[in-house]
Amino acid sequence: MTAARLLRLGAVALVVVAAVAVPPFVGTGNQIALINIAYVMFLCVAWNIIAGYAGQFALGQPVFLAIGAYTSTKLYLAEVSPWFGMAAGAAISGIAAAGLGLLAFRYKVRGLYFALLTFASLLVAENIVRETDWLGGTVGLLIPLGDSAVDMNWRTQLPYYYVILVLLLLGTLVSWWVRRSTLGWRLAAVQQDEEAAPAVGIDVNRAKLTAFVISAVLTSCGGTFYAQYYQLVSPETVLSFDPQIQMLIGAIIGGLGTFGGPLVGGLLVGGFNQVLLFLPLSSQFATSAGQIAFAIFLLVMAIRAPKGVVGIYTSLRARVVRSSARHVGAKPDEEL
Amino acid sequence: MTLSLLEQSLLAGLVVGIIAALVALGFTLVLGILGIVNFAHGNQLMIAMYLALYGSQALGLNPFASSLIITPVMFVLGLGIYAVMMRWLIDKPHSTHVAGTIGLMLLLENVVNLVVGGTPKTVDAGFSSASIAIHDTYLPVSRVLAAGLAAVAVLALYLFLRRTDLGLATRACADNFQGARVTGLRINRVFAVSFALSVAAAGLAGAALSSHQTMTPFVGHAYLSTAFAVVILAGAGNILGTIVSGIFVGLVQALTQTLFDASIGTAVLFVLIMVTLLVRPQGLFAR
Repeated sequence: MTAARLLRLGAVALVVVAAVAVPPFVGTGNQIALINIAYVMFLCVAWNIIAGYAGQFALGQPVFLAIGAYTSTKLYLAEVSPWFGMAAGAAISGIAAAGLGLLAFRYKVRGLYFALLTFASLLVAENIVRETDWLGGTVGLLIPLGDSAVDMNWRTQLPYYYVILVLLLLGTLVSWWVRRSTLGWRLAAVQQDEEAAPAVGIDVNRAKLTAFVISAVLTSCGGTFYAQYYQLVSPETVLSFDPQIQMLIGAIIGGLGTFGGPLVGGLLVGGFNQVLLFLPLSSQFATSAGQIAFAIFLLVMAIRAPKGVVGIYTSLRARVVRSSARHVGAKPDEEL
Repeated sequence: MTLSLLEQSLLAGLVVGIIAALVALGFTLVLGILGIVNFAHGNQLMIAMYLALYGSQALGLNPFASSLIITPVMFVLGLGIYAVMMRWLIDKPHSTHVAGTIGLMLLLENVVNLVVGGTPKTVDAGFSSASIAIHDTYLPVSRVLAAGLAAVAVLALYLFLRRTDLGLATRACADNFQGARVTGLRINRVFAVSFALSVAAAGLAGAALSSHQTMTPFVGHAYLSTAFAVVILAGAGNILGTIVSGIFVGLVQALTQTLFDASIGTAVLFVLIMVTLLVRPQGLFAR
């Protein structure tokens, strides 16, 4: 048991060291690919906290992505460092999520209706921003070129890679902590049976609210990164349904509600998109073909394997362990 | 706002509203009976718009004539989608419904994008410049015909649900699913027909809309959000409420569009939707 644990810790350490040490030597094209993959993984991890752990299928996360992106951009245009902008955006997102969550959970909006409420909030925000000249309207805001760490603005890819890698590691740690903390146990109870959870002394609304705020704050940080990296924020890119669909596909294919699921799913989705870009196809063909492949994959997984790739792995391993346990009398290992 | 401008936007709103009611009826049928929010509903409508385009380009049919073929084709397509995916979704949690229908949404719009390309297209209905004078305002003939066709379809769907045995069975499933099953109704058939009817309704609306609206493979999102707004206001599965609230939403959109502009109108509408979801999730028109 300790040996298995050590082995796993070693594997995690190896992955982290490789993620830090290898990218300087892979060339600009691969660095761009890695940045995009890490960004998708980060969004999936953040969404999984509310939609997976808490079981509240939020469909308006791009609102927080946009709050992060627009807050830091407006501040940057007023010559405030995007690092501060990231913190400010995260704070505003946290407050916005707390407000929306308080209202929703106070009025017992749950399940399908929570999904629809958050979806409506996205449509409201998108249409307001489209009409607000101060935020650039439908065109959006351009971020001026620069080259300094204070401005989170570089002419090379590598620094951006490390920013998103740190965000991804932080998000993964938060996700791990949520899973392992008492909050995680409360959320698991809420996710399994919202009616029964109060009977064992769980403050359901508080647990859900905490998960929603954590998820929103993380998503918002991703928004600031997006703005600084792509140097453009517009309703089309950060405030449409598209980022939400990415989070959804990644987390569900990987395994909604598991710790490893959004990481695996984000890696698959982000990686596959990058592979398509490397193929000699027109960009429209590549995008559509990729989306069709994911649509079919998503459909099959949603119907056949609701716990995703990680769920398949866990149940396969449980079967192997069970059959070997008959011989040696060992206990099945804990779930991933 | 002058009186004739008010009259103009009220009439325009009525036209939009009747078609919105038809689109939303299909959406609410699936939500009320199968219990599934169909995120692909707008994309089914989009498919019909492209079928109408094909009918016009290849066969020289105007959208109203081709709607007579498109609607049954869409009904059959609906039966197919039901057999391949919808029936596997029914007894799953809501998150699976949403994921599955978003999968279908992505599939439909990207297949169309791949096959016909993303450039916006319009159908020449043959009388695009002709208008009908009502009092002292003018409405394009194609819009009036589209609204008329939608009104007939809404009435037919309403009569089907109220007057026929299958319609009664459908409503029984929506009211009390376990009770309906106990009485020996063939649930699966009711589900299949309801879903196919919903797709056919979207198809008819799509054909009618193609006579005066531009289409792109991704146009479905806008119609989905309208249907969603209408159904939340009416309450899921409420047939008469959906018709009333469809017209209401059309009028709200047209009036805010005249007074402010389209985006602000949509924002106002969805603030109203959020309030409804919070304080009256059963809908404004629930019994």
